[in-house]
Amino acid sequence: MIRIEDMSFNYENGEKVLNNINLTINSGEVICLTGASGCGKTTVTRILNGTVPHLYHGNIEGTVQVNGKDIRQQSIYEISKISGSVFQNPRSQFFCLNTTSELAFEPENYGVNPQRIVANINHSAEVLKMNHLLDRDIFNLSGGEKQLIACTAIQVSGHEIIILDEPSSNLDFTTITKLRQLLERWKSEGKTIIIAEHRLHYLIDVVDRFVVMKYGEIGEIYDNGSFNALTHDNLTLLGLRSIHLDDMKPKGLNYNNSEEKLTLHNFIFNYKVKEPYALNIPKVELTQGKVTAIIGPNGSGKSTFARCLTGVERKFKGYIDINNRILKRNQRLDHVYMVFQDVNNQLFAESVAEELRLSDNKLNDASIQARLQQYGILKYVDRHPLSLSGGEKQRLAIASAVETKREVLIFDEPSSGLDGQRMREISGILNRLANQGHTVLVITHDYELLMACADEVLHLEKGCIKDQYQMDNEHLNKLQNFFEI
Amino acid sequence: MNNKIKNQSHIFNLDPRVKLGVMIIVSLISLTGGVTGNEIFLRLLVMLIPSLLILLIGKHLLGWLCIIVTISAWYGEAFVTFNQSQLATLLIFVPSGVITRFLPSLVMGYYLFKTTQVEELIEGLESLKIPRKITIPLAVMFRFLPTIQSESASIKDAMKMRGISLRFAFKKPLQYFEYRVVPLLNSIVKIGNELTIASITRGLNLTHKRTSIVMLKMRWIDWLFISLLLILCVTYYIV
Repeated sequence: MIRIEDMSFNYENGEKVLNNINLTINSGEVICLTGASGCGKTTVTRILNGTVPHLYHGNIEGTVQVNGKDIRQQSIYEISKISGSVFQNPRSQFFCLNTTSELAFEPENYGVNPQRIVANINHSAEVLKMNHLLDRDIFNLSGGEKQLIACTAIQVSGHEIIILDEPSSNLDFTTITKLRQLLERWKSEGKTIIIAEHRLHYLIDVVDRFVVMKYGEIGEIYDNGSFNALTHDNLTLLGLRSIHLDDMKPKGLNYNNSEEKLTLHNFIFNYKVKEPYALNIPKVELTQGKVTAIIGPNGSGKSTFARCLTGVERKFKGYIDINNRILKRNQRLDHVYMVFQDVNNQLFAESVAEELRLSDNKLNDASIQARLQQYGILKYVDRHPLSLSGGEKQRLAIASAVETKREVLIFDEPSSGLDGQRMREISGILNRLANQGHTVLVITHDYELLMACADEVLHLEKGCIKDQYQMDNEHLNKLQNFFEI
Repeated sequence: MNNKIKNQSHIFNLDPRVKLGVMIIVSLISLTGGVTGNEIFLRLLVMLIPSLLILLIGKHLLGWLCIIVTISAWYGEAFVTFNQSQLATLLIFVPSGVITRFLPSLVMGYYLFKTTQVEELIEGLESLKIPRKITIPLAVMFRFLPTIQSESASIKDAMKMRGISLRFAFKKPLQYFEYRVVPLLNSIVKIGNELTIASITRGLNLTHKRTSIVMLKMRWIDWLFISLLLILCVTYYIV
């Protein structure tokens, strides 16, 4: 049992993130912590797995007990014996380079007999159907597969308490389904589970209580039945994402009825001569001034498609035709821009204003200020871009993409890890960009974002086009089929 | 899949401890070796070992290339003299010297990286009673090289798209360097932090006893190899 009483917490720099939290979690209960970004749910998970205050320093007041023992009196080594953690970013939670070694890593650290570890690994892989992921190189796995390995590692160690911090933010739909099955399994085995999460639809049948947090406090606690009864509008007001995807409707027609086409020719590419084509699209038409969502399972060629389109792929020979204007690779570098999923890697300048000037060096101060105002980051005009928060960095990256004034803008997973409100903001921005005449392409696994912003859908599979359709009620069931709703 | 590390059970994949031993002996002899007398033939033999190892794990092209380069550099260093021109001799002698002194160690390092799973290297070192304060950073280094590579590639793409090209690099080299390095450092530090936290919540520590599912066993080929090499090494220094 976990008992949190009158707990407050501030980080070393004085920032108060949690205030007067009271929560009792019974053994075998499944709890979901949700709320807007920065509401403190991640900090709660950090306190429970001991990384606060041992690694992230700060000051905890009040009581935090796990099974009757104060958590502050234990080292992380002792806490982790009972609690297992899965983190948000699959890239950075593996110590080993080989999946089997990674699964063995934790029991090895606790001095478990090697034969028993091997038996445990084989048994866990068997029951979770993860055999195909054993003995693989970590760098050859997709983000989803990595997250499944992290979950399998928990199974191998057999923790009593499982703490997950936004586990789904980088996952595609099939992996989310697998994650849900895992949670159901753990629940039936009587494990205590605490999940901090934005995406709620996959949790609705598993979670016993939903804890909605607000500004570092517990706003309201719903049991499963009453949370399930919340309407779409209730959730939107709370800034949360949807729980029932099946009754969502497409956003309806765009204001502009643009019919101008942009034709991509010869989008055929493979990374190595002997391998099958990563991309094999002889010709495809995209509508200008619309938002086209690119969907498809992992490894279907979505990122290759984007790379080839931007022109960073040197060996790629395909071209674009815009009203008989031909754009070859080098020209595309000046006409296409992509906003990465990890925007950290594309902010270079020393200040926010400089960042925009890097996109267009003729900008004057007034237009920079107007643009920053529009994206809500004007007050940081002199700050270093990398010192901003995640959401602000993303908006800056989008603002600098807009300042390049390029015709085609590509967004790679713009809504991963975003709460409901910010996801809706992003979809608003995407729609506005399309209305201003940009051709917007969005690579996404996020059904809610798709519903909120897409005009057209391009469905890729194994490097080829599987389907291409308008986003309307008529074609809705195609999309639902793909997302298995 | 192409750059998958060779499995330890491959017949010519030596025990990690043997590899480290070979590394030390090869570096020592190629770095300090003389260029006259009969010992140069023994030195050539030692210098060719890393290239042979690469051949044995199936990298034929690279292996033969290294062999040819090593032999010609060795020949150039020891035998080529132009009596009429001191300068020409030097021009051959100096680069050959650099190659014979460093190439074998580099090739051996390549072999080590290509054939060793980190876990095996660590287990090997721990069985030699090397403290964990050394083995853990080493493991992290192995873990980080591919990460740095992929982050760096993604930053390069981003720069291309923003029009920060080589032309820019010539005009403002310092700024180009800054754009290249600052985001890279930032993301490496961030990944490093997250990695540390994840590892510690998985029980990584310096004090408690640890087990390992990796079983290292010296096979006959390992013993054969290391004994031959030791004999070579001893004879080399006696002769």
